[in-house]
Amino acid sequence: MFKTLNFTRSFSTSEPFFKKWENIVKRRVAQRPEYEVGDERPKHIPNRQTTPDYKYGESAFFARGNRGLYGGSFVRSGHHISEFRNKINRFWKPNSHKKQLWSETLNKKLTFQVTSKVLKTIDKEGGLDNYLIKEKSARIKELGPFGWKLRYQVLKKQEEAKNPKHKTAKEITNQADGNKITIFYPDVKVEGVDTPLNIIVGRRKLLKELYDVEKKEKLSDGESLNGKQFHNSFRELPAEQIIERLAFRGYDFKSITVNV
Amino acid sequence: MSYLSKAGERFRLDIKKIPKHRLPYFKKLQDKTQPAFIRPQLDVDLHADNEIPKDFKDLKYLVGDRVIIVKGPKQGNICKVSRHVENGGYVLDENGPTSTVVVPKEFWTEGQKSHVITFPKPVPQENIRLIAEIEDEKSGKLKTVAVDNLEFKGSYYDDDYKKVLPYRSVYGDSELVIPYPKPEPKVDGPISTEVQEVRERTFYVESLVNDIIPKDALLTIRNPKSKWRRGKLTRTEVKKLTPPKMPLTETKKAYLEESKEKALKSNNLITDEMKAFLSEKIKNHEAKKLAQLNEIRKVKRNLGI
Repeated sequence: MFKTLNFTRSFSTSEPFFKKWENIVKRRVAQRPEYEVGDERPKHIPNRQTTPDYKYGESAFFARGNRGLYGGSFVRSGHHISEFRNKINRFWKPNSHKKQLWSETLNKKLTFQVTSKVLKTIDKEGGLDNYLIKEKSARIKELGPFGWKLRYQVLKKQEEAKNPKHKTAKEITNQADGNKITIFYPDVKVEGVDTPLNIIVGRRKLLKELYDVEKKEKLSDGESLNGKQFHNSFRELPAEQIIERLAFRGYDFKSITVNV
Repeated sequence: MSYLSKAGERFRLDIKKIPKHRLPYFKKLQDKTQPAFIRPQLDVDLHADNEIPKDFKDLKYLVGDRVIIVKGPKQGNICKVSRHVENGGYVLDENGPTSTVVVPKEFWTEGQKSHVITFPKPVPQENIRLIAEIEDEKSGKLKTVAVDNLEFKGSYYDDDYKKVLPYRSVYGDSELVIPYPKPEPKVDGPISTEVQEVRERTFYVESLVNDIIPKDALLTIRNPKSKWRRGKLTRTEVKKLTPPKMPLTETKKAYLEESKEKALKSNNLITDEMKAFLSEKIKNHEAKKLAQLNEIRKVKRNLGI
């Protein structure tokens, strides 16, 4: 309760009064158990979570702060003091405004509530993205659940830009109508097909094609195949192997290829 | 609101929570709202559990007992108890009291020909006494007496009822035991099994470690599709339960790489020049120490220690 006296001098003589870390750091956050395949199934299975867990959880006090960039500021309370020193309770709300800010990575405008202090910080950092992805622990504390969500979106997009899914993808213009076409898998050589293939669909659509082919094959054998069974056995296949399997089944590639 | 809902349960009329002085009103209401042929024949205690008791101590007189009526219109008649009814009533044989009511046609039973029917009226426990045959002390002959009250003490296994029962005796004289009446024998049904066959032991445990029951047979004992069995987590479910991970920033990646490099670097920074310097220092120190030891040895030898 009583702190020991500490005579070491801090770097700053005055602490920033608007930042109350205790409101953020001392929140009680439930620990999430780690599940593995084969564990006993819990009572409730939620829908899939799209953002990672925020370390400091959500605030129950001043919940508006969970929905914008408030920079760790909360409602503060004090007194109105009259000329005769009469005290009346009052409070100060954070100086927040609805703003549209441009995100360079996401390539779009984002609309949210932001305090003037955070706006100033964003200017200093040189943009919203730089503000969001800074690694300092104080920044992570002041981001809040909303900022954490934006940070994930930005970092994910940056990762994707660095390591694109289709490294060999090419973009060409269709000579017939002048539209642009992306070739996801160019010059794929498969057994049974004479010319190399330029495939203009992604892996997901290739799987969809394979499902129809496999289902027909099974039906002709007098067996059945549902989506779940197919998913379990073919989910892991890389795109090249899917194309091979399609060729093996005698699939006509005309609808998903283009001649350069 | 659904009839399955228990939302209004707290406000429902519960007779057991009503104070005793308010009960006559509800009794009157019950009599008013029910026609005579449905109305209970006995005085009902609304506070008590009015089910037929299972304990022989509470039943007191069993089916087949001979009893004498001591109160009411059929006073002095000797009858047999034919069955028990709710609210602590005993239905007696044809010598017992009866009641006559008018029954509307909708409620007629099979074989009924008249609106007016007569059926046995249940008698409360206070209105009857047990009749027993007791040996006379003087003459030594058996004599028939009515027992005012009974007591139940001790216990023994009754072969007729196939269970442990207390002794039933005259109140105040536990040696005067009045045996229970013999129950009517139960007739075997078409799917009933004989007692001896059931009691025959067929399964013997041979090992505590190895289970004799094969694993495939366990499914016949336990329900694999029970709703209480939650089952094991699949891959898709685990995916749903685990949130995505935050990608590392460039600064964090650089920091991690740097710390990795630092860990790989060896802490052995001694050069050859430093080694030579240190070895010379040690040699000088050793020579100095040796000279000191020799001096001490000399002094000791001179002193003769």
